[in-house]
Amino acid sequence: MGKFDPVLKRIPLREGCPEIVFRQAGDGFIEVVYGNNEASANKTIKDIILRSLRVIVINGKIKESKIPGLTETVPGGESLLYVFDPLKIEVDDLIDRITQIEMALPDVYDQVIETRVLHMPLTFEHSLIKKAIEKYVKEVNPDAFYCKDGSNLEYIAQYNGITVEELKQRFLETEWLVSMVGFFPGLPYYYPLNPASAITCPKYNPARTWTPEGAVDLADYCSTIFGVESSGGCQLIGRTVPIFQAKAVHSQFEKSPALFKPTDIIQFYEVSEQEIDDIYEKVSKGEWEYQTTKRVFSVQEWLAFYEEHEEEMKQLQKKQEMARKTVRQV
Amino acid sequence: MAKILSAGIQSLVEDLNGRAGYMDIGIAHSGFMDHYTGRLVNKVVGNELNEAGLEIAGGNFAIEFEEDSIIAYGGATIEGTLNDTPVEPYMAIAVHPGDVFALGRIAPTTKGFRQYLAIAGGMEAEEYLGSKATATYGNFGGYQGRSLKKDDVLCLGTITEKNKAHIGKKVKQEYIPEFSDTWVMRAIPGPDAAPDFITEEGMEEIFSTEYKAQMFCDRSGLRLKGPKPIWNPERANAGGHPSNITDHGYPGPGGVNISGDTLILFPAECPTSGGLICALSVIYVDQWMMGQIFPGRDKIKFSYCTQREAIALRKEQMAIFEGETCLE
Repeated sequence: MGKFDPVLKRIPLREGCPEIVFRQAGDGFIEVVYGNNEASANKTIKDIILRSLRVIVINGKIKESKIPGLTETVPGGESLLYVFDPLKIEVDDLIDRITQIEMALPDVYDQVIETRVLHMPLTFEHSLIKKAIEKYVKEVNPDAFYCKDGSNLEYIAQYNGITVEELKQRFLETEWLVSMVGFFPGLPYYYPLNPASAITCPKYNPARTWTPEGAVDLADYCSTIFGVESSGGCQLIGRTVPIFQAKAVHSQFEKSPALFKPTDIIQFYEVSEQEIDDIYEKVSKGEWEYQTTKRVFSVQEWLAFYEEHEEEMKQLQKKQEMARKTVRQV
Repeated sequence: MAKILSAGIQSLVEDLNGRAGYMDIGIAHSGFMDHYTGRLVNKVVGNELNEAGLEIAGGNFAIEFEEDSIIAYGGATIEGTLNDTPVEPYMAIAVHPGDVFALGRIAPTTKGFRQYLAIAGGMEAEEYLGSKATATYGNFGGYQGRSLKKDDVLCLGTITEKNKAHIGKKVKQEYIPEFSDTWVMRAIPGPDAAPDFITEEGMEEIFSTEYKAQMFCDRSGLRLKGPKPIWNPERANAGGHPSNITDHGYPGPGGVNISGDTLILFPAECPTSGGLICALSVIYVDQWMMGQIFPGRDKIKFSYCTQREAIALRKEQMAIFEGETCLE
């Protein structure tokens, strides 16, 4: 091991499971990464979602096993961060415990997860989104060509070789699978279950200093929703309803201040700016009902669905490849 | 009770441990940015180490007591006064109704940036998810989820016999860290270091460069100015910026994040995850320094350390706070 090589252990590639790499991360963290941190351009939505599902399943098993000295875990898209007290558990012991659990799970193909679909209203045009983009151009990057007329939609569409209308349609068409929650309070990261909606674009450079609550953004196939006002780096899509409430004025937030958890499925539907604003008003008074329906998510069934739409994905990829020859890179 | 007469740049109710266990819903631990000084001042007034205290950035602070209490302050080299008479830092002093404790203005010669004020029995604050620490992102915990303002009134905790017995006690000089305008932090390579992300040469460079703190510094991140990292050429050519990876949990506090070509130190209230690499991690015992970096002025250097050494150092630092070891 080189002086600067942080890898503590590797579990070689197995059928249905990528290589697993244990990385040191300071004296109180270990990061377990599935695969080799390939650039997103070299991965498919299928790779990403299967890895994310593995993270979710392993995380559940780790929690059940209640390892002494392990204080918390943080799921990533293709990694699981272990937070531990090194005065209570030796690093090698923790690695052994994790390895045992990893070796007992060959693949995730047979997983059937009881979950729910959250139906989320979305407006593609909102004055606060426009404000965030204009503020960025004015205060951070006056040369941000991806911000045109207070919108990023035109750039995202161009980057994917499609029209803005088609972009909206693809965004609304698919269901999205939440893989993790993090960054700042409540923010879910989710990927399209329908590969024909695998839209991508680069992040801002440098990042925004302000993003409004409820902003929906996208980069590298991944979309997120802002739980609170904060900085942010992805291209803005629109605005949805509140998803984080520390004080639980609304009963939806009584069990957890965050609306989302990994394995939740999101389906967006389009509404107007006025409707979104009305919902903010209602939620702040504890009114408005978050629409959820129960769902059993079977990985096998999803893989079959994925295959059905693979051809459409390939057509989109062709458009994306063509577009990237002419569209400016960030 | 005690009334805030001046709240400075940012004065917050914080505690030592913060709210651990919620990183998976995006909630950072929060708590004292300088955990070492926060511990020392609580220790010297006879509080539990996790008792809520005040974190005051950049001085220019004043508080008037309306009841008897015992206080101690420490941190940046800004003079503290009681009714305009200078008082020693790192010492438990009795205060009485009408007394005003104040911290002077920060100056270009000040060493460090934040001060910590411990008050016997702590203070009432919004306890949220197991901690009184203020979360400035999300606005919960602490005093109404926000920084203190002039005329805010704190309800003080109950003074115990132990607190009373601590009046006049001091922290032994050997346990008070010397502040400077250059902070040397020991750090461990990883999780995203050589050879995959940055070359060996690039890591050598990070461990030998003197970085400068940018003005853009807060409880979620401290941006550093320095040379562009030397990226692994394979990654640099893979499309997208080489600092970008699939979103992952951030090892914070402690992680040294690389955003584009800029290094960002991750303190108490850093993001819990994101899509950028963390090339190295400041070890626990040195993370307190992040709370003392003077924005736009101070210099930062990383000193190579192994995980094993870091854990041994952590044991040593924890021993300082056992019993009355650090007091006289």
